[in-house]
Amino acid sequence: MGRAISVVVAVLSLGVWILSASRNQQGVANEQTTVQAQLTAVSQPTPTATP
Amino acid sequence: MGRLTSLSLGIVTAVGGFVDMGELVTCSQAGAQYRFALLWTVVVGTLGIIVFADMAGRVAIASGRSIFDVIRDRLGFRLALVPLVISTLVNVLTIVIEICGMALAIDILTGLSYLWWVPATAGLVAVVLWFASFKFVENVASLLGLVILVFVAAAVKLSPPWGDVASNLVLPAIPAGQDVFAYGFAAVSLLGAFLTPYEIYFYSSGAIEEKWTGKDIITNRVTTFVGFTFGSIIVVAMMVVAAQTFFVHGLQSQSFASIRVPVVSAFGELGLAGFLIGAFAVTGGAAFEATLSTTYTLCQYFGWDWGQEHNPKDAPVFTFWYIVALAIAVLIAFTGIDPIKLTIYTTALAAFSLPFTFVPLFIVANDEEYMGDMKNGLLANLSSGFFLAVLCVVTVVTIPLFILSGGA
Repeated sequence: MGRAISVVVAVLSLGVWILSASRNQQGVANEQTTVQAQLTAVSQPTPTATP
Repeated sequence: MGRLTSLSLGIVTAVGGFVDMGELVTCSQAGAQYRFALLWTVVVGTLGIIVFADMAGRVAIASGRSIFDVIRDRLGFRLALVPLVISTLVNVLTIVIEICGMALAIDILTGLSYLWWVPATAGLVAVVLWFASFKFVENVASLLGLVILVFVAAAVKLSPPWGDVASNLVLPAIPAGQDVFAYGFAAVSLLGAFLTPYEIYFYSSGAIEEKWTGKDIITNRVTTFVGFTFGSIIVVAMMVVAAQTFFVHGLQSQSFASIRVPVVSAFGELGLAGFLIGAFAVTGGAAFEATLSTTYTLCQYFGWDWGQEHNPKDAPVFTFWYIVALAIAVLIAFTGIDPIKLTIYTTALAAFSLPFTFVPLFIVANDEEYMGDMKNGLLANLSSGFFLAVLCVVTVVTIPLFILSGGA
């Protein structure tokens, strides 16, 4: 009984892991693009003196 | 030599504890949103953690017992359950954000989602805890964590107006046009990040692991002061570089990946390497500390054998619980909850929970039965009393600020 529950929990965890990681993978490229845009922006001269 | 070893305990607690995922996220966002206007929280948080860590070290030295052991003894099994439950909750969430922080550093390096790496980072923590001694964990994390000084170098290179930095360290100010509730919630989250309970439990238990005696009372004071002051310089630098890059260009620090922008803009590829190694090391060090703290408090409360110096076979319950804590943390991370949001919520929860850790510590530190002639003097009581009052205010306002700021 205990072994069966362990197997079910392990399979469910594996499923949730793969699903979450796959979904998150799609956002990685967007995040890199955003960071590149930020790096470009901060390499420009400061717009105005900040009070 | 022994004194130098003891000093490294303070340094690793400062770098791996004072500087961790909480600071990386909250300081970057605070600098980006409020420029230097939240720097004063670093001073309050640093002085607070110095006062309470010194007290925790003194309790360990005077009683020869860890603080949770003494707290259970002093408050009783039932009442001590309250700080145990709250600190365990905060500690487990801290493990989640730290193993995610390690994975996010690898994510930037490889382009593969951090979630693929979470089991590996948690596994690394478990393997090192299984095989390594307390001193090994302490020394490796402390040495690698020094790379995070890249933020200090970047702060110098970005030439901020140091007069403004200095004045904002001592004068709290709400910037014009900012939502006062969001500013308040950011301040509370920063204080929670600086004063996380696991630092205190780790520091006190570490003093027992390193077998501190009455001769170490000066070492205790020096390590807390030097270690946490050292950590605070890095934290100030993190906020300053975020202000000098994000704020002045009207940008936001929205993700873990964005936190590297100031150091990369200052030092290019070298800055990126420094950020990745430093971020991995400080989150890794904090993951070790938070995992050990979770298990320390549980074992000390229930009276089970504990200690990283034990062979896993000699302390099976201690070993079992740190594996369980890491497994629970991995399962929480698997849900895909945003680690940045979770970091903000965890630091806010830590802020809310602070009196539940520090009030019992204050009571014990004033008990002559445990402390003898090392019990709190007038200065210790005045300073800790002041910070306890501040922390109680923080506890009262955290949830209202969270609601009023729309979850910040």
